[in-house]
Amino acid sequence: MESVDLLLGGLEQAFTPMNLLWVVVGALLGTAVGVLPGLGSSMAVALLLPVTFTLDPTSAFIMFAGVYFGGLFGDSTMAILVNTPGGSTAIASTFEGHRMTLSGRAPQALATAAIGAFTGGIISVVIVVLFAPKLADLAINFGPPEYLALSVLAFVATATVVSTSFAKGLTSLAFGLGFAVIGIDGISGAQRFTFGVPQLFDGISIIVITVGVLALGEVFHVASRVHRTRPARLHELEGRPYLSKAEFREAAPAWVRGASIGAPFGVVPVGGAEIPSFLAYGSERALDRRRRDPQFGKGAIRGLAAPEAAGNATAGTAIGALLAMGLPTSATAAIMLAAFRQYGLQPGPLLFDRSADLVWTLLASLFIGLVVLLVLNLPFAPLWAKLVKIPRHYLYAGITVFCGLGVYATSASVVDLVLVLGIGFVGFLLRRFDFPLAPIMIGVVLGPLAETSLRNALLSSGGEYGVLVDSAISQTIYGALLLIVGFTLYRRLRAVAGRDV
Amino acid sequence: MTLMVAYSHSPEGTTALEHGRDLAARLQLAVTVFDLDRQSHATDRHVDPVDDTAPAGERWLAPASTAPVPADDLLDSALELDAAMIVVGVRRRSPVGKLIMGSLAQRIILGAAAPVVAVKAPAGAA
Repeated sequence: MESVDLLLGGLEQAFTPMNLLWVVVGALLGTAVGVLPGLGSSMAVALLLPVTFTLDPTSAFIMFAGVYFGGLFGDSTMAILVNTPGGSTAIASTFEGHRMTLSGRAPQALATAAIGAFTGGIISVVIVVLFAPKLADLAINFGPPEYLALSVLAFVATATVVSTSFAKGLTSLAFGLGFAVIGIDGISGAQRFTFGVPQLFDGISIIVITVGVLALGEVFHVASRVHRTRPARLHELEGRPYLSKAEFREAAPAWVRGASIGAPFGVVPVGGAEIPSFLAYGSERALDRRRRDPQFGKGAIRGLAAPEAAGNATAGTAIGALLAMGLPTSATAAIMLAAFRQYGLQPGPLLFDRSADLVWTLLASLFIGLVVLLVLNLPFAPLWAKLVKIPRHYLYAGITVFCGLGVYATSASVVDLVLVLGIGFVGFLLRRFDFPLAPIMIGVVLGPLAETSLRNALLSSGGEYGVLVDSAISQTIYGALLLIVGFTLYRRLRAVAGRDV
Repeated sequence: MTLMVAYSHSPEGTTALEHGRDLAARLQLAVTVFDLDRQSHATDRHVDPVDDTAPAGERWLAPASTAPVPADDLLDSALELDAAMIVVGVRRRSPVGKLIMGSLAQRIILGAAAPVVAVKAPAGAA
C-alpha cells in the first residue's frame, strides 16, 4: 500500500501544467514516429536526447516515456492499413490486422489495436507500480559479479535471439562494445583506440553514437533506395474506429492474454517487444485453431489484439526494469539509461530512495500518458495515417538537420560532426546487410558497466575468477542465459531439420 | 475455388506440384502454389514461378518474409483464399526424428481446415 501513497504523490506532481504538456508532446511525437515506417521510438529518443538537456530530468523522462509508448501505439496503424509495419514491433500485427482491412473491417482493426495497446500498457504499469520497489529491494543484493552477469545476459540474449543469424547479432554487439571502450580507461589511464587523436581521449559521446546509428544511418538507408521503394498507398477509410459489443467481448480475452505474455518480457533482455508480440500472435493462433470456427486467415480480431497488448505490456515493464535494476531490455530503454547517466542519475535500487520524486512522478505520468495516447489514437488513427503523405525528401532532410544540430549543440565540436557522419555510414551498412541494431545500443550503454563490474569483482577477490559465479543470483542469471541460447539453437535446428515436404 | 499446392524445392515438392496440377485439371479448380522455400516481400505474398514451365493462370505465393512460421502462413493463406484442397508431398521419417525435430508435413496436414492430399515422391527420386 505504500506504493499507492507514493503513486498518489507522484500523480500530484504529474498533474502540473508543465508536466502534462511534456506528456502530450511525448505522446504526439511518439505516435508520429510510430506511424511513419522507418522511424521508431528509439530514433526519436536519440534525436531528443540532446534537446532535453535544457529540461529538468523529470520532464525529460516523462516525454521519453510518452515517445516510447506512443511509438507502440502508432506502429500498428500502417500495419493495419497498408500492411507496412511502422516498426518491427508491429510486424505481428500486419498479418491479421491487414486481413481485417481487406475484408472491410479497418475501423474495427484500428480500434482493437488502440484499445489493446492501452490495456497492455495499463496492466504493465500497474505491475510496475506494485513490484518495481520489490525488484529494487532484490537488486540491492547485486554486487559487481551480479551486474556483470546481468550485462552478459543482456549482451548475448539481444545478440542471439533477435537477429536472423548469430554471427550478425554478435558482430553488432562487437561494434557496440568497440565504441564503448574508445577513450582513456578510467582505472589504468591507458589510451584505447584513440589513435593519438586528442578529441577521442574522452571517448565517443553516447549522443554521437545513437544519433549516428539510429537516425543518420536510417537517413542514408532511405536515401540509398529512394527510387526503389514506392511510398505506401493508403486504403481510404470511412467512419471512425469503433468496436461493437460482441467484437469487444471477442477481443477482451486476447488483450489480457497478450498483456500477460508481454509483461514478463520487459525484464528479459531480448531486444524489446518484437519477440513477445510474435509469441502472443502464435499462442492466439494455436488457441484459435481449436475453436469450432477458426478465424485466423480471415482477419481474426484476436490475432491483432494479442500482439498489440503484448507490445505495450513489454514497454511498461521494461521501464520498470530500467528504473529498478538499471537493466535496459530494448534499444529505446538503452538510450533512456544513457539519458539518466547524463543527468548524473544511476537507475537501479538506489534510484527509488534518492530520486523517489522523479520515479513516482514518472510512473504516475505513464498512466496519464496512456490515457492521452488512447484519446489521440482511437478516434484519430485515420488522421495519423495521413502522415505518410509527407514528402520523404523533406522529412529526411529535416531529420538530417536535426541530427547535426543536436550533436553540435551538445559538444560544439567539429570532430563530433565528422564522427557522426562516419558512424552514420556504419549504421547504414549494418541496415543494408540486415544486422540488428539493438545489440549495438545495449553494447554501448552496458559495455562500461560490464567492464567496471568485472574489474571491481576481480580486484576485490584478488584475481580469483570463481567470484564471478559464486553467488546464487549470478548462477541463476547464467542459467537463464544458457536456457535462452539453448532454446534459440533448438528452434533454428527444428526449422531446418523438420522440413519434410 | 482454388487448389493449393504446398510446394518446396525438393522431390516431394515437385511431386506435389505435378499431382496438384493434375488434380486441379480434373476437378476444374484453379491452382495456387505456395512456395515454402522462398519468401515474399510483396503485400499480397506474390512471387514469380520457379521456372517458365508453369502454366498461365497459376498463382504463385510464398510466405511473407516476416512470417514467424512459414507453414502457418500457408494454412492462414489457405483459409483466406478459401482453398478447396491442399496437396502436400510427404516423406518417410523415423518417429523419434519427428518427435524431436517436428514435421512440417504433419503441421500442414493436422492444421488445415480443408481436405489434404498427401503424395509421396516416386522411389529413387531423392
